[in-house]
Amino acid sequence: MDRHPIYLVTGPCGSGKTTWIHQQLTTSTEPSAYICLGANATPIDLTYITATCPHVKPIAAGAAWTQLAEIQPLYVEIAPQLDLAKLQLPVDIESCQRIAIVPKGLIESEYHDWASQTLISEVTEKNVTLTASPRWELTGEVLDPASLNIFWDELIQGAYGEVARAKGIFEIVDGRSFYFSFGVGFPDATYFELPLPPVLAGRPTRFSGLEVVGNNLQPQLIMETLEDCGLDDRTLAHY
Amino acid sequence: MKIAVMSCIHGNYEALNAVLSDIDRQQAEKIFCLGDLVGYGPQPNAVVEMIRSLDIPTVQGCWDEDIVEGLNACECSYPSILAEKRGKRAHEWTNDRIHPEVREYLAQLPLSLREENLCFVHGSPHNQHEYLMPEVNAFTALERVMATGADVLFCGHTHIPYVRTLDAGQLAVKVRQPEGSSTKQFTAPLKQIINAGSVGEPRHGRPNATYVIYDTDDRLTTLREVKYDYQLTCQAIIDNGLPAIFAWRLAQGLEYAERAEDPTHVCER
Ligand SMILES: [Zn+2]
Ligand SMILES: [Zn+2]
Repeated sequence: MDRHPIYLVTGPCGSGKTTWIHQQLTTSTEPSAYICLGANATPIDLTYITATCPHVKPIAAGAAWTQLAEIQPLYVEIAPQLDLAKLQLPVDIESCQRIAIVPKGLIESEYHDWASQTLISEVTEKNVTLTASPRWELTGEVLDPASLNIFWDELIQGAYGEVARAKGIFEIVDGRSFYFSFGVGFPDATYFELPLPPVLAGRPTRFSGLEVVGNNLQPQLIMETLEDCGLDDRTLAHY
Repeated sequence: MKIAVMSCIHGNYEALNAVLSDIDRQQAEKIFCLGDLVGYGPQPNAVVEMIRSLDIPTVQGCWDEDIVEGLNACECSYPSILAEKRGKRAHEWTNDRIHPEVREYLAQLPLSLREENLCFVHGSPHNQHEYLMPEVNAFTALERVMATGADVLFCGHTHIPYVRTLDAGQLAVKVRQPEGSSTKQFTAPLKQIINAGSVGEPRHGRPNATYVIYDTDDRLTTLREVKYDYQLTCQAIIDNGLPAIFAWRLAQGLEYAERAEDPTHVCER
């Protein structure tokens, strides 16, 4: 039987793994599945792919392994925190398509060694990190859109350290959810509304959050500014 | 006669010094200041002392008023929750450090000054919190100049310098009288609105200070942009415990906090 492959996608933080997977998923409407593996794998990618690709079945990290091979093609995003040498999957890794997304200029790495196919992204080497990037879960926070715009402009222009990649899902005061994405070398530095039902009463319970890759970042300042962009219960009750 | 007009120093002593030196080089005979001596920046007392020691005729700005009267700004001053929180932090910081004699000086500043056919205000003749944006419709703009009885209205507050010449010619004005309304027509001579920009808190994308030189003989305005060592002010912002983001924004020429953008908004305060 000619089955679609399982794609295992790896690469350093900020190299464009999710962007590549999203491109693959949006070129077809056939049922596909997506999972992101890794300690603290951020639900930003999962939420983004779920909201924008209705034909894709999202598999939450930690879900039963048996689900893994049910729908194919299956895209498995592997967070860089995972040790590829010790990676254990319920499928034969050797039989999967092993894709490494690496930045321009990175010639040799564990990703190259491990992959069956290496793709070079538009991102340059200096804009990725091999370590974990700071992230903030904001679920339940409702942001003032004008404040969010100021914060986002400041963030991507370097007010809180040099940012190579930033992506976030934010809930704003009228109940809508927005995906923000910025990356040096990414063509889609943009934001758009996620096609999700608006939250019209109370605080949203669905995931929102922010992840940033860069140098000399000031996570404390980022967190405080995000708090300053949020609406308190009293203000929220007015809407 | 050549005069220099500056506005919105916002506690930025380095920028003020650089502008005063430039005014010297331009050989202006008189200096006017359109207020906002304090707020956001790290040296409010030093700025006021300098203005006072040079006896520069000065009108009261929105920030000067808020320091005297307490925060009471119309919502339009804060287009976002973030800007409001930052503005309040800047207000508290300034309020805690301002010397009593500086507060007294700010309290007695007039709302407008007249010098022959020139009028000097902070925001607009109606209110120091009102933004006279360059895009405001010609009728409103002309009305604001006419309200002063002067030919040239100098203002600040928007932090972006501009010169606008109003060549409306004829202006129809409805006059309400007890026995009903009548329409009067009259001819207005050429009027000008000149915005002096900002010395200490520019928002034109560069950190340089701006002010204007005006020649009363040929009615010629020169917008001056003056480089100064803004890094010294940035360092002072951080050393004095003001939010670090103010230093970053100053270095980008982005103002300390975002301001109301709506050009048509007329302050209701
Ligand atoms: Zn000002
Ligand atoms: Zn002002």
